[in-house]
Amino acid sequence: MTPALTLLMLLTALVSLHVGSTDIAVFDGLWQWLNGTDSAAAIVIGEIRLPRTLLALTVGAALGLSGAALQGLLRNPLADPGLTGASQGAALGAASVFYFGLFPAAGAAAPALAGLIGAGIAMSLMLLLAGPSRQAMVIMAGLAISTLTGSLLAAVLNFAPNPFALSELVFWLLGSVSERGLDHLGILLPALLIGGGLIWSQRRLLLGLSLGEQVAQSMGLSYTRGSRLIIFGAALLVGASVAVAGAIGFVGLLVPHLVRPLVRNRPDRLLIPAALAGAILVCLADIVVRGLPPGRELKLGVLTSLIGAPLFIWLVWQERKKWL
Amino acid sequence: MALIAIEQLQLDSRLAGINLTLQPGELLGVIGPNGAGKSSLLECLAGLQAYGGRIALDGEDIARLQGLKRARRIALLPQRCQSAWALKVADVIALGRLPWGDEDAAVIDRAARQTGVAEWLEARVDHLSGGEQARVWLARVLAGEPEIILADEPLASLDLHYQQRVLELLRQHAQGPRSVILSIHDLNLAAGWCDRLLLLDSGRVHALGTPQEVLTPEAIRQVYQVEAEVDFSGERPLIRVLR
Repeated sequence: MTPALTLLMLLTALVSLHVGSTDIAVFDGLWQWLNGTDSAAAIVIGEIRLPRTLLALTVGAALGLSGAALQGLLRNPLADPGLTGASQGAALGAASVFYFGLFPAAGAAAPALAGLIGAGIAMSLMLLLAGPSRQAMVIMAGLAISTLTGSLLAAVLNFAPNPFALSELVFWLLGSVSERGLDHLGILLPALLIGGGLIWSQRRLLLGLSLGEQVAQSMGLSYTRGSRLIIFGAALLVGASVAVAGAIGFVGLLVPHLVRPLVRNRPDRLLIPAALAGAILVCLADIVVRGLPPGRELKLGVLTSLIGAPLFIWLVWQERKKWL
Repeated sequence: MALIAIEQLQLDSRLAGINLTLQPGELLGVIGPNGAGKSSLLECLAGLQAYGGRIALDGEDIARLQGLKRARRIALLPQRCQSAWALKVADVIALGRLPWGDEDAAVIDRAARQTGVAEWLEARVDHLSGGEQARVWLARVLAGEPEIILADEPLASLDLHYQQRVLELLRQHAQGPRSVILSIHDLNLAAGWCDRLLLLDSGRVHALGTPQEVLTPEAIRQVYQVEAEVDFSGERPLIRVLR
């Protein structure tokens, strides 16, 4: 399964490098960019399409992986990575940059940096509130912190200094991987490696939890420690991806569902395929966004929600049929 | 030497000063009314509760034993079991190998054949009946090759046929160096299958010994507040509640 998805991801990346408003020889451009040649092809590929493609892939992987981990931990197929409060926290952090003009030294990466800090604070509050986490408490605490950060975000929008700042903020929140550089990857990639590593280290706990906390603990797995590592890892993934690309809805919720049947529903074997499938999905969606007729750009987050919502309705329908 | 030696086991208000030993090859039944502390006792042994007192496994304090090492020797079959995901039977059994960190196909296959679930390996566990599932949960425990199985009311909600099959498997396990501690409500089955019985009442040991020593009309009256007739003269012991 994993090799097939890896191949598919590479193909998607290649297509993504090809698609754009101008026709450019991808490999030539890439080669010239790597050699430092100052050609048009080198700039288009190296400065625009490559960062965009890599960001789409990493954001998708982070969201898919965090969704798979949280659904496994909470044993709830409807758990969304946003549940940790991290995505709202990241949005609030980034919005504060637009509002207060924080971290001017960080330049274009300032919203991302502030977003990561916002995600960290929201998640720490959530863990503090949830206490020695029972799964229901994580959901409740996450909801509480999301509501708090959501209302603060609304306040920031409410008092936006001018219409321009407001629209910039709203558009940023809609989610996109365009007009970002490789420096954003510098924030996202470490988060993906650390968060992914933490989750991967707890894959046996995820499998054990299939039969409940009691069984997992009786098999010598530490639930309290392991669940914290998983939540921390997931929050890092979600926080970083929201901080860099805004809200890309439904990927974390849906991707694990799509992949689960391919891995015999095993939560431990779901992790890597969910990351790969998330990367493919977001990159494909971004290709579609770029392929749409010119004019005002459809934001990536809007497109994933537009595709995701009907798919989600279909999933609920399938689930309902099981109980009839 | 005793496989397990429990000294002055204390768990908040649930267990008070339990002393107990478990011998190799023994099937020990834990009986008592609801809330007597049967599950709590098994949970302490399985590492799910922070207890007071001392539990020694082959003379070694299990509180000092690393979780995975303990789990390789002591396995818990919980009262209620359910899979959150639609796992295949083979994967549920493989889950029993978690303490070992492998998925040894030969061991999994053996556990499946022992419990008679080998033909359903590729079936979804949630598609099986309650009795069939009970055998799968037991296969999961057997796949971990533990010396000691702690079975917490494994017969609840099983029909007569599956009750016998599960008891046969536990009896089969409790041989040589291996043992089973079985929490059970049915006194007739307890008397018929167990080597020794531990009668708990409000977290204390009321009686400990052979079924004949423990299950006296007097003890049943004191602990369960019912009058019962006890007959150990036949092929199988018979405990009949009078009123």
